[in-house]
Amino acid sequence: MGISISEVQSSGIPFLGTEITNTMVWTWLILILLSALFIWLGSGLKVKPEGKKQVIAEMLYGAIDDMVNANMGPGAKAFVPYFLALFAFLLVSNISSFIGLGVVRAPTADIATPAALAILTFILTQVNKIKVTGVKAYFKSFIEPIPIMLPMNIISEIANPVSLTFRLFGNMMGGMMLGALIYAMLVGSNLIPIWISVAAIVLTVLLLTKQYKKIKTLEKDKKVLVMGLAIICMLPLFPMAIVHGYFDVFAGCLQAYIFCMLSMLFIAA
Amino acid sequence: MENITGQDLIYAASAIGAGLSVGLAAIGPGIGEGFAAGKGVEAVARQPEAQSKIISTMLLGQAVSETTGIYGLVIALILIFVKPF
Repeated sequence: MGISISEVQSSGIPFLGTEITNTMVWTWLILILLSALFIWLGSGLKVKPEGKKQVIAEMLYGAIDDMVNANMGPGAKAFVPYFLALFAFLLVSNISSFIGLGVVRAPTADIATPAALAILTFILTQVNKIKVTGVKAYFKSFIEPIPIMLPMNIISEIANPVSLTFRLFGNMMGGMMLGALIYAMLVGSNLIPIWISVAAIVLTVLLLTKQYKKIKTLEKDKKVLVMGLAIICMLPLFPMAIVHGYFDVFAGCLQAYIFCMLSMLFIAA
Repeated sequence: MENITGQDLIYAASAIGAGLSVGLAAIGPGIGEGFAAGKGVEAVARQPEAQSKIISTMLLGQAVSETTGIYGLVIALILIFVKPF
């Protein structure tokens, strides 16, 4: 049919009791890139900022700091680095399939990545709860208001990371699948890498434009023909732009923001 | 088409079930998010200076109500790709 939804592929190379998948490779790549970026941004800081680098670094930190302050209170400064890292990783990995032009498979479209991040949030939530209320009050909170509510309380604690996981995974996976289907509808197949089809369309349009410029002196109906052909070739590009703009950029940024926001609320609660 | 096995019937039923799962699960979040967006517009119209706070609260609520729809999508994905039966 010419449609394939890109799957998690295993390379067969053993690594720590499992096999290296493409998700792991892209995750490592994103982590290396982000680490390099933040080490570069954080190096050589001065009390009085010199140049743009420190201003950008302070802006990034300040944005997350404001979010943490607004949602978790002023006593939660220790969480700012965690959330900055989480937000940066989610943002880059959500839009990596857009930047990677169909070669990169977004790590968040594999259920393992959101699950790992949600488990991190879950552990932080429980540890923070024990720290704030004390061990005795923590265990007592499970049998409140009456001991028979114990299963309900446990389920409601576990439901948070599960819903976090499925929200991110479902959004990214659903966006990827719909994108693949719309590509298959517009270009005929998404088996050829997306950038090749886009390049083919752009090339056709460029050739037709050149032709149009050359025959400017010709009669009118020929001009209209060439112009119409160019517009017809360009037509698939407009829905593609909308598809990428919505599913990759908008939904990706929104889901990264929402994952961080909900993590903050769970930890603060 | 002469040899339809029981497994084929199960796949067909899975496909129908996947469509129903997404379609029915999309109704609730659609209505709910629409309500939230409408109230958000009302709130911004009444208090334009609090726009950023209203929008972020609205998006958060919408994301939470969207979860039920996402569960339907995940069930459909499992039915189509994992083929549990």
